[in-house]
Amino acid sequence: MLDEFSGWVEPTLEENLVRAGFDRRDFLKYCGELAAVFAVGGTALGSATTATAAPTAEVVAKSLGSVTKPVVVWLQLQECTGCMESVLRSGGTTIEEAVLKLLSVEYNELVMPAAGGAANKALDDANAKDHILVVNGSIPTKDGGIYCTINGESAQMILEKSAANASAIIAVGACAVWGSVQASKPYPTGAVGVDSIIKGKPVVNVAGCPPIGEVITATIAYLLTYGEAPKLDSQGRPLFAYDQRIHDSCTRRAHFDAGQYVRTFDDDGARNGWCLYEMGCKGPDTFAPCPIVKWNQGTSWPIGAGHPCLGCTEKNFFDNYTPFYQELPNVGAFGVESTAEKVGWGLVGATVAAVGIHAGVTAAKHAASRKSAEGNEPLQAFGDSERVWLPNPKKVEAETPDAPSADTTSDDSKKAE
Amino acid sequence: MTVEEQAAAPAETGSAKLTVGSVFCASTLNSGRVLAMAAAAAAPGSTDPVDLVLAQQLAAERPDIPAVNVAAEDVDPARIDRRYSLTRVRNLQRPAQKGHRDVVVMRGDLASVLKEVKIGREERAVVIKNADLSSRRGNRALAVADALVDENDHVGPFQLHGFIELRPTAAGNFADDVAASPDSWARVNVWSASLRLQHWANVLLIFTLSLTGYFIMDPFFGPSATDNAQQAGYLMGWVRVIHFTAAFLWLLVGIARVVSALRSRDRYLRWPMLWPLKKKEDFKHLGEVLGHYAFLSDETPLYLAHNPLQQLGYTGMYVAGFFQMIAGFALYGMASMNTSWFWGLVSSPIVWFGVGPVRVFHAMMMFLIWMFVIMHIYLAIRADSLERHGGISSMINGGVWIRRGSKPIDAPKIG
Repeated sequence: MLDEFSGWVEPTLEENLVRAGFDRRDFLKYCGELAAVFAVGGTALGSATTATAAPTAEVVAKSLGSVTKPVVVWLQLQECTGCMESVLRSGGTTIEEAVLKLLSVEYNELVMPAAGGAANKALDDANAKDHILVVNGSIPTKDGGIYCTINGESAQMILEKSAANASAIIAVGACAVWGSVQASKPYPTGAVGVDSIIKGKPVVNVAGCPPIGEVITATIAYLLTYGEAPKLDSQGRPLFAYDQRIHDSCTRRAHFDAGQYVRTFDDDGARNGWCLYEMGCKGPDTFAPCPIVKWNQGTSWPIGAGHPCLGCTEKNFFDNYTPFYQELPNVGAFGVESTAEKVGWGLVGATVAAVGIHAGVTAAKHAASRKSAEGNEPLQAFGDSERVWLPNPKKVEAETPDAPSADTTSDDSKKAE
Repeated sequence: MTVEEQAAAPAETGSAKLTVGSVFCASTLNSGRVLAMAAAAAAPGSTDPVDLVLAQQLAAERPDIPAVNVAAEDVDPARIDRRYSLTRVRNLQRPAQKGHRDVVVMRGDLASVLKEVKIGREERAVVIKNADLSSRRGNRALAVADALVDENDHVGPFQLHGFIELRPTAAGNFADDVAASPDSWARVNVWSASLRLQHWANVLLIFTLSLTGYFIMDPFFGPSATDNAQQAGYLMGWVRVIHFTAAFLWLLVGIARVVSALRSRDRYLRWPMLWPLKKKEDFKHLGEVLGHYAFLSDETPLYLAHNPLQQLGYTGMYVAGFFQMIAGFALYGMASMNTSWFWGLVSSPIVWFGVGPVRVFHAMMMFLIWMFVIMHIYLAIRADSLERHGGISSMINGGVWIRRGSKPIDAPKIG
């Protein structure tokens, strides 16, 4: 059935859809779903323009319905095609697929029928027009960018050419957002995200590895509906989807607060659907709409399926959140990779040991100095002939204070010299 | 930090290390003059520890009194059968006396000297009583007497001028305690009530924050799914409530600390105290303290309050506490960072470094504070045990004990 939508015959999207046999009810239903996604971020956050209320299905339908054939260039650079897979599984209705088809994706390595010179010509033609640029994959920068080339051009050259006339740029997936696994240790290709290459143009970062398909289509639909980028957070992610933590809408949050944790993947806690925090869940650290929108047409989502969140929508999650199955990332120092807890206890233990040794040396020194009775030397000024040191203050009390000295004085003592 | 060796620079000839205590005056001569007279009774170039420590003490105490040099042949040292030395000091001008006269100074064991001097029964009893008290504190009394020499070289009657306390500089900084000789120690109020309150508030809050924070980092115990699976609780909820409440209280303590650093009348709370290395000597003292802790030297500079190393440690803890609060409140505000500009600002470190690194930093900082606490408690116990200054109780009652006559670097001489 999709084949029928391959052409954009009527001037607007809505007319095309009606022509293809979809009635207005289907279209409004889809727009209602989009409106619900936009509303995830709350009324004030969905729109970057004004503090209007969340768009209703009618508003979305009106704007989206009147969209005229948008040209899209969909680049796939240094990536795994997972994001494209996610996009193709976006939504449960064929109409969402129709929207994607009708976007007139003039260039996309995975789905376009053209090949070779024809494909390159399609890209050049699309680049010349006003278009929306969607990017999957990172851009390797080391060694002149030789780690990803298409048609003899480096990923960076391709991106820069396509970005020149783009009216909007959407970076889809962790690779395009910040580089993902290629930008993690040991970082061999110098991979970076789109917004490190394209300066001076707003880039919408649809983060995730991959992002939820609905969030990708919702972002595109937002651009078509409002004609401008949605409001973004500090990492350039649309706030309508990435404004709150997984932890705060998690269906297992009550178990977190109750202190009920899965300790191993096969324990009774896991069977009871308890909190996965002890298994390294990064839900408390991760901003994403997974608990709300879910995956695969709302079927489930990682935590719902009993697996801890990996935090894939956060920048540098491979370096910052690994090992994935422990609460805190490892601490690397002097070539030792160990958990923060182990390092911490090691340091505390070393301190205790050092203090113990120091105390031991101090005590030994104390004992030695008492034994040697240092200071018990005869003093010539007192006429001492032997070690006569000071009386012990505790013993002297028995002595009479004015005991006469037994010393004898010689006769000449009163005369000087 | 140590009291003992600071009373006077100890003479270190041979193994005898001596310290001059107080001077007992038995005549009209003041203590400085008695000291000067005792110091004068030394052969030129003498390396006798008593001579050396007296010269040092005189130079430190009374730099206005010039040291007197005597000829070697004018000194008759003490002997076993005559336990005092006799020294002829020529052309001495004594205060309140006209002209220059030769005198013979008698210096040595008090009991021996008392036999030779002209002294009344009552004065004699007073001297003996004081010398006895002094000996109970571990001192030896070095008696000083003199006699005028007339034109015919005839030595007149000897008059006792007093005695000087000498004691060995204890090795390894092990001081005798206040109880053994209460008169020779003075109690000095150092720590103000607000400083002590802040200290114990920090102890309580750091303890609470560490326990709850450790559990948040690693909830290593909790309800079991196998037993009592139906028993719902609020364990992590309570732990977090306690952690956050304590965190806000700690923030208040931190703010109070900043305010007191700027406005307090207590000089130990004011901000200039936070940086101990102001002069060249401070670096020298820092090195000496480090050497002392490394067992390289027994001596360490005496401070009434904090030595430079100690102060650097405490200032470092303020810095650590500051960053710990920054990291903690960044993590706390993270949930609201997209809905509130204020928490967005507070959570800026999350934006800069990512959540993972901030959490690791927060946890490692806790372990760092534990390391500090262990060393702090150890060194406090060590110092109190060795120096007997009551440092531990001073954080409760505010006062430390310090030996009379000692000269701390950061305070006037203790009387």
